[in-house]
Amino acid sequence: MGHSYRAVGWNRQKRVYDLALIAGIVLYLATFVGVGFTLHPGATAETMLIRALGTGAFLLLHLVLAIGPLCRVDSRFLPLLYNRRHLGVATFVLGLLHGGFALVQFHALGDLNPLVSVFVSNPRVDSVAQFPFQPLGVIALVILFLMAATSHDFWLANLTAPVWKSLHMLVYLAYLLLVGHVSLGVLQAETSPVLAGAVGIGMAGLLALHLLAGASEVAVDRGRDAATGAAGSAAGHSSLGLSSLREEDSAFVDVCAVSEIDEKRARLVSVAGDRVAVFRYDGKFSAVSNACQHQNGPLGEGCVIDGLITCPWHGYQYRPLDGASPEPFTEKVPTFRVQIRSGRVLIDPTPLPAGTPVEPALIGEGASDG
Amino acid sequence: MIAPLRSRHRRLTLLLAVTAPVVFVSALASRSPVPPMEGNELADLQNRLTADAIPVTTYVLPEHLEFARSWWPADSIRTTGSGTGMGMGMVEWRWDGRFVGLRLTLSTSAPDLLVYFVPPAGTGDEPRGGAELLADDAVLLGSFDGVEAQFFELPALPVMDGSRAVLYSLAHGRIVSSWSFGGMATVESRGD
Repeated sequence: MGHSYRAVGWNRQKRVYDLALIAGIVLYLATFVGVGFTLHPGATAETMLIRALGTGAFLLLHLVLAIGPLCRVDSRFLPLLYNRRHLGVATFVLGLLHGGFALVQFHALGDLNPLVSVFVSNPRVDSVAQFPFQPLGVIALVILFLMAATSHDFWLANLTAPVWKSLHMLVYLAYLLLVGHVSLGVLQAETSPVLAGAVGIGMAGLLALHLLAGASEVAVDRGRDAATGAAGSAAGHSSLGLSSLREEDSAFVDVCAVSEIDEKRARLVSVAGDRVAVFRYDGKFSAVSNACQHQNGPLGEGCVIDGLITCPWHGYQYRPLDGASPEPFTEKVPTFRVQIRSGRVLIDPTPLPAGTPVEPALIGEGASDG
Repeated sequence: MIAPLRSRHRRLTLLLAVTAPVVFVSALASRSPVPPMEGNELADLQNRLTADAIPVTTYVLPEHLEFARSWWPADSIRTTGSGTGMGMGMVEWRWDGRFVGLRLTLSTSAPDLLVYFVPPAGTGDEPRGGAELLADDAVLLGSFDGVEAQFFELPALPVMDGSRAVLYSLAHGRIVSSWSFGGMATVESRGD
């Protein structure tokens, strides 16, 4: 957790992650160049490098974009997410080398500044087949640079997680631009179906993964909201909206049965579109906002370690009682009031200010309440 | 909290799922027609392109085929020339007033070949920029990527006697072959 500036908080997992990343990139580039020269012995080394770096960056971007939905579908992919930012920076570096070589190869000795030449040398914007594809790559590279440059927790802390996340959603625009860059560029002159097939399969797989993860998230939200409504009935309220429940000054809504939450784990409930994580630990129940203050990671998918709620993404920790990180860290998340009634867990969906202490609900209490 | 963020993410994902396939499919659909790779037509064409040449790996881009089919073997070429240079074998130049074509008849060992149009020098006998250096006002026509025949559209400049097309090796930083417009088969070559 970042209470002071450190370039990279290295640990064993990050070292292993980065070593595997570098080894994978080197292996890919070597394989591409080796196979490339075997199939096209007349190609120049620069051309082969441009292609190897470009395909490497595009492939890596697919991996970066696939990690999020993969983790939503299966938590076993979470270790990949831990250092995803390094993957993103590596993607930018490969893309920069690709763009740099291409700039020298195709634009450096013209009459114009190479960076200007990229944008003005091909004016055929009215033709799909002859469309100036290189500017698309340059714009995508600028976006990747922006993301790589702001990937450090320094920027995350200063911009705040929502702004930082919004900024980094530009990666989808970068991906779209790169699909255009590849499709309108190299695929226009490629007679072999291999590259077009690979791009199509990669794109279809990535989009399918995102849609699958998105659909499962919607289903979770709908399920939880439905459960919340049903819980209102169980607690003596009709299935009115939450605002109606508040008007009746009986704001607590049902989450689940006590037995449905495993020890040191959480149950998620969706209230008014936001998610609350209700944790069970040492015979007590506490509820906090599901969004980690670091990168809005899903706290409810983490667990309680050493008495602290631990985010599954990067290990940020919060006390269950007040949602505050232990000293010397300063992160805080909103908390919620919790009750146990008739063997069921209920929460007040109104969030309390981040860091507000809340008495945890005990398993034994409220056992006779109706 | 983060509900608006999640909603924005969901909308972006849906937008990408619609636009990316459209871009991809549109680009593929608009590609220049690719002649069938099997059959005699392509083989015949490639044989014509590499006639009298030591066989090298033949690689013809689809957009070149249309030109090559109708243009290279045609009789309407105003002038041709050829030269050797820098271990790259014979370079044949052709010009029909709008396009300049290059054909390598030996495999090249010179990487990163760029083709430039050099306007005529004002005065003096020395080529602009020196014999092997590129003139400051040279216009880049494109890169010559090793295919046997490649065509470059000339800039909208009046082609006059003294104008030249040059093949420049980026790796070596010098002109490896040069050809003058205007005269018949006026050839300069820069050997090692």
